[in-house]
Amino acid sequence: MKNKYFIIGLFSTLVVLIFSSCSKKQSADDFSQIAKSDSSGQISQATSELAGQVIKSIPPPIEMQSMILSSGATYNADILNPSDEAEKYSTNYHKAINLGIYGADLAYINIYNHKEDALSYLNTVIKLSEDLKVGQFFDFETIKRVADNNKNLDSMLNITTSNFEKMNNYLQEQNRSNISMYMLTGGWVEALYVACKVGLDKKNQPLYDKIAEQKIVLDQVLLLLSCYKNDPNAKILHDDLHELKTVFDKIKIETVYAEPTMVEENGQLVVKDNSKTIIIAPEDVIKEISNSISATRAKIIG
Amino acid sequence: MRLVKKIAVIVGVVVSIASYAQCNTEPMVQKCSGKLGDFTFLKVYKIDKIKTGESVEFSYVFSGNTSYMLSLCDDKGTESGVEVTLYDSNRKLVSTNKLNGKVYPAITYNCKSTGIYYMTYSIADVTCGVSVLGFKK
Repeated sequence: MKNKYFIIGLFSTLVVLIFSSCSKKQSADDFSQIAKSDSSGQISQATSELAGQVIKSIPPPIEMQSMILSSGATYNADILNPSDEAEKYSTNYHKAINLGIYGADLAYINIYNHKEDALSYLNTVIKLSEDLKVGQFFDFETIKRVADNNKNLDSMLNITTSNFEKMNNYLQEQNRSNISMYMLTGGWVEALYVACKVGLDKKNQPLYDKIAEQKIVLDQVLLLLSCYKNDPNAKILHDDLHELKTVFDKIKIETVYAEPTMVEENGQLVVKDNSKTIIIAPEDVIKEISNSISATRAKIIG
Repeated sequence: MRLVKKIAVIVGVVVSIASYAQCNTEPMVQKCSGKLGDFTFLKVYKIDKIKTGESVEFSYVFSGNTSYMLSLCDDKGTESGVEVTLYDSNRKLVSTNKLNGKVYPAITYNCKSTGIYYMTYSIADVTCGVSVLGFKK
């Protein structure tokens, strides 16, 4: 009798396990349909893993945006993609790449502590995320409460950056790294566009240097896009950004190497880089970069 | 009785596979993000697909005149279960968190030279870990 109950118990466990794995499969299938709808070709597992690695190497927009604040430039919402434009993005490609654009705009707004604009752009980010079935990473009320409870928006900045990171990790786990690739490209394009606008307006050399450093990031973005060479949208982006690369090639970045030193400060390990980078970024080249990235961005935002 | 044994083995295998695959990284991400202090959150690197003795590599474009922090956490909360070795764009060793017999739970890197850097992670006596990258101008 005891054995009978034991067998029933074991079978019940198996049934639960089988059903839970089926429901996960169903969900993954839904997502892969979304991924396929904007892509004519699937990528291999190895390419997908490579793309995942490259995505991890690309700095989020916040790094470039923080330089904009340091330049002393005042807040200018006119250079951003208007938040009420999101309705016109109908394909998953347009939604994903503009989600990246709006994410970068949100980072810019957060840095300048403009709460009203931040909440408006957050709404747009949530709308596009929900359309792409990744809305679970942004809870408006929670983020608004964080913004309300803080004098500055640092916490909101950290939450939104970390939510975008979670979204990217999730998309890769769900074999939807193409969506992640679009978001990342859009975010990088927007951050570079804004940096060029502000840099040229302020004639700010540190910002020129930051723009020039994007030569290295661009190589990573192009490598990422090349993983999706069968995707027509990725190919167009790749070709456009390859044009930009020819401009970036005019920039010189040289490193003079020196051994790093390590010290313990307050129980923490601190590594001091004794090498230095020499960047030669003439203003006319920055203008060319600005023109090229503006043209690419115009195509993206429509 | 044979049938019972067979089912027990199957259930055991399924459960152990499921538990191996489920390394809950979220609490570690929270903990590691908290270690960043005044550094701004940038990226999460999950070290959840390797075993002791193996390693996994990630890369990131570090920017000159910027400080970066790589905080490290593991599933057992040992503060020493994850090791990271940082290499510059020429694959020259920059640093590791295991120094002079001590394992540090984070590395701060005051970067002066822009370029792509490589982080090689390994684990010891833990199942998995995470590393969170932050920056400060």
